[in-house]
Amino acid sequence: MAYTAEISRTNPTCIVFLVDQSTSMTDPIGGEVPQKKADVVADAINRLLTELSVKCAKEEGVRDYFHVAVVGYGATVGSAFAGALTGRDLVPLSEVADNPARVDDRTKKVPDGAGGLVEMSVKFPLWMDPVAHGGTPMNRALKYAETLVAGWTERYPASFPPIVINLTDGESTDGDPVEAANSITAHATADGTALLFNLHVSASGGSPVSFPDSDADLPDSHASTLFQMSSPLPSHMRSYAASQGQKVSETTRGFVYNADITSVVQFLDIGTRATELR
Amino acid sequence: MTSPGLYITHLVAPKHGSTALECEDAVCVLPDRPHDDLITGPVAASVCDGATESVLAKDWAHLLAIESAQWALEQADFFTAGPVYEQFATAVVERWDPWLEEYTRDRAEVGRPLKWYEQAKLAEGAYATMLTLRITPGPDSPTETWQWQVAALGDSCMFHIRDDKLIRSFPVERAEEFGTVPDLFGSRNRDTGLIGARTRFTTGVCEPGDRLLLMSDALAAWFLGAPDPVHAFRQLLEFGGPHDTDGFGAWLDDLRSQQVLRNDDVAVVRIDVEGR
Repeated sequence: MAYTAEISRTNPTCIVFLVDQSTSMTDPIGGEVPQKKADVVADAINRLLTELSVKCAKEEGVRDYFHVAVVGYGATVGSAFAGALTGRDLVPLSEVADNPARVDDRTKKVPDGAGGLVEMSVKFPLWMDPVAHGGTPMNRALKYAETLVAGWTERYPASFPPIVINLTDGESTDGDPVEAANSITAHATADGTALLFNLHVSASGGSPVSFPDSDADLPDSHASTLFQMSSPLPSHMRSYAASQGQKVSETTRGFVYNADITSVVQFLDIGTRATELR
Repeated sequence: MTSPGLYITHLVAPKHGSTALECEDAVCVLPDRPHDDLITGPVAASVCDGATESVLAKDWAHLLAIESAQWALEQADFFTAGPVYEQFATAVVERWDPWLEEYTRDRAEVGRPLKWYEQAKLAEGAYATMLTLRITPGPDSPTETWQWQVAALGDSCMFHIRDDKLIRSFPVERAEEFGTVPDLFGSRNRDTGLIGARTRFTTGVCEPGDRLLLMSDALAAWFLGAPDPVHAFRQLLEFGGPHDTDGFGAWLDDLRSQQVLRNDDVAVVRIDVEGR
């Protein structure tokens, strides 16, 4: 499988985010700064959508290189978009970017052009709020995603394959999720099989792990299961991760444990990257 | 024997699926003369390729192309990593913020203020490659040789052709070297020492009958990777002026459909050295 198809407005791909919204997400993750798992995943989704929108932003608006769904699973399974996008599944990225539920003001450090950083005020859009209620129907969520993936591969059979990104504490309450995960990655376009990546937020402690090539250092069986469910990173994503100092091998998987997953947006190739000289 | 001089033409075409207004490759040739005028004096040409992932990349590429061609034409010391080149780098970056302020004001006035995602991206600046050439008649009279100098930041390329054969490729020499992370000239980069250090400079001499081609990366990659370079070069020669714009676009689309040309904007400058 090549994973080399151009991602463009005429040949877009889709990204399905699955967000665990079960009661167990009220627990804190390990680490120096205790944060509720639900806050961590909601923040991750909002930053992922921000990064994706900014990546595809041009002066006439955000280009629809991607169509995006945010699916929550807890008491129910369905769209987790708030605001104007409530109830929507796959939404063209331009609509996502133009319709956050609200926009907060935050500060961010940006390069000053002379090797330093300067703090500046930035807009921080939010599309979803933290939710923690009900069980963890991960199987149902994966099957929901599979339906979206199947529809996409039928509609765009030559596109870069769909990407499903699951953000969870891994404690599925409706059975072993491995088979449902495999059903997603069984779908393919001419360019490759669909990709499934996982962000595991956990109270089990241990060191954060990003894109490992084995589950040897993972702290528990939930992490191992999610690692096994995760797709190996395609070659160009591995190359990019390596260029950013990440240790990678041919068996590196799209799995992150208690760490930042927003870098996955930078793995996506839409053309010449805008990077400062180093 | 033809009269000594240069014929210069250039073509720019957007990627498939984009409009001409969305094209992020920019060209500036100075002096700005019709393609069928024989030029006997020095000429500067610049090709700048705006990065897909930056906002206003086409505007930055245009500004960079114009400014670099002007400096190259007027400043003999432009083509070394020294004070003149660093003065140029400072000058072009200083032009960006006033341009951006005017653009931002204009957008607000027409009821389209910058969106949050544009503001976020503009804070990082706009980015483009830069390839700038100056070609000057030699000291002999009548002119028999032409000296050229090139400054290259990123992967836009210059090719020197003699008797249909490629005798020099700069700064990229093999098709496999192209990627998605070339060195770029950032509109907010005030580290002029670093810009000078990353820019590559070279010189050469043209004889009558030689041709120089400047290309942005996609066409350069096709050219360097062509299994029959002579055939590839002769295909390019089919397009000799602005009147060939439509045919050039159709030819590019055909190469793209054969999957031998990456779908990207294309810019090419062709300089024919006469007097043979």
